[in-house]
Amino acid sequence: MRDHEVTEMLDRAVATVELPAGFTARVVAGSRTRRRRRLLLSGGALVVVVALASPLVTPDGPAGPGGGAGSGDAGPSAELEVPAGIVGSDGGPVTPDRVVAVGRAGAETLVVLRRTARAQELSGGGQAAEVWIAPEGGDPRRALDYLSYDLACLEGDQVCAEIRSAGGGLGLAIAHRSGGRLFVLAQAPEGRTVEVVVNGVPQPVGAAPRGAVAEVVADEPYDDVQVWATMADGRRYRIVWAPGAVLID
Amino acid sequence: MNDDFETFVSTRGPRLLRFAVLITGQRADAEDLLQEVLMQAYPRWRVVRERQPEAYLRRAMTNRLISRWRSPWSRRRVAGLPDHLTQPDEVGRVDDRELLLDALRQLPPRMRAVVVLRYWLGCSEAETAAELGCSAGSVKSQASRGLHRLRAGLEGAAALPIDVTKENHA
Repeated sequence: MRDHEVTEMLDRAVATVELPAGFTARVVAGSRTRRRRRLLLSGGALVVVVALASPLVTPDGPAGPGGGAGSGDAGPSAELEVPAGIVGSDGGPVTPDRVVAVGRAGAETLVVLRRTARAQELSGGGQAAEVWIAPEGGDPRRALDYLSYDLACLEGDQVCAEIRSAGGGLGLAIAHRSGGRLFVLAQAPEGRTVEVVVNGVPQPVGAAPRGAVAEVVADEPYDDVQVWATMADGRRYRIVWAPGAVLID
Repeated sequence: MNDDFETFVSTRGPRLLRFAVLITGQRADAEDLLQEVLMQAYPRWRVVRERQPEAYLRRAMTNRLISRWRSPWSRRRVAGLPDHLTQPDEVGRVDDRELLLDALRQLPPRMRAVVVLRYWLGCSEAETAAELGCSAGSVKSQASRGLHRLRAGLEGAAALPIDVTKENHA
């Protein structure tokens, strides 16, 4: 196949493709709806959000999927507050029990908020979250609408499978590349520690019931970076990358 | 800002949608993908429009697609998909456009994106590499393998007027 033949072929495949009627209006309307939610919160509901989020600064604040109050070291980023201006997927304020993980990634704060999981995932023990990125001094934005977690194990990971079947919660990991730097925000339930392995080199993160961030150097997070959780009894399992878990600016 | 954004979408939108169709291989997914990245770009339009918005939005779509596909969830879903190419006669005369999209769908998203950027948009290897955030060597090998797989996928499509047996002279 010659180059120009490939080009002609691809051209022909999409020759009749046009924007559907009302597409532009739908985009603008959808975007405005999202924006209204954010503005609503950053205005009238701001005080409420700050008040509700304040327990996060205490060492024993509410935890993510691990549940309950924290007791140990929550990792280097766990004492961060949730930045103002973030609103839940339902338009509601950010209450502490919705915060799965929060961590500082360079000049930005990553916030993972619990949201309602799809019924099919819920029935399999899965949970769901959305991910926000709040730049320092800028407006936060929702970077990912739907992130599945506590749902999947790698094939052959018996420890993970056992925990999942027992409903213990597995944790989550997201990677965020920004300004040439790559950060991993990992969360694992209480009593476990997290380790990020980059191209075979382990990088301990510690306990992270409300999330902790590690900066890593890797080209392809999906291939080069693994996130492991270690139980109190020493058994380990992989926290898998969920769809959309690698965020690239 | 609204007028500017709407003008951009109405003039560049069709081309962006065609790009989305080629990298997803499906019209419905393409519309969802384009709508999603445009909705995210709209509030930041003043910044986005200064950054070569068409290229920015193409990158956003490609990254989003690759990011979703490369997780264990998606791999499982892909494994469960029916093989469209092995049953082209089921519905009688099949539109060759569908066959082309079917063949494209058989490629992994990054490989598909390389093929589309190189051969549909006419980007050089270096430009493709910059757009996808990988090396030029990776682009070269992915383009070569992509064409090989595309050719294999199309070999059974007799309706195509293109001679798919010719060697690639890229």
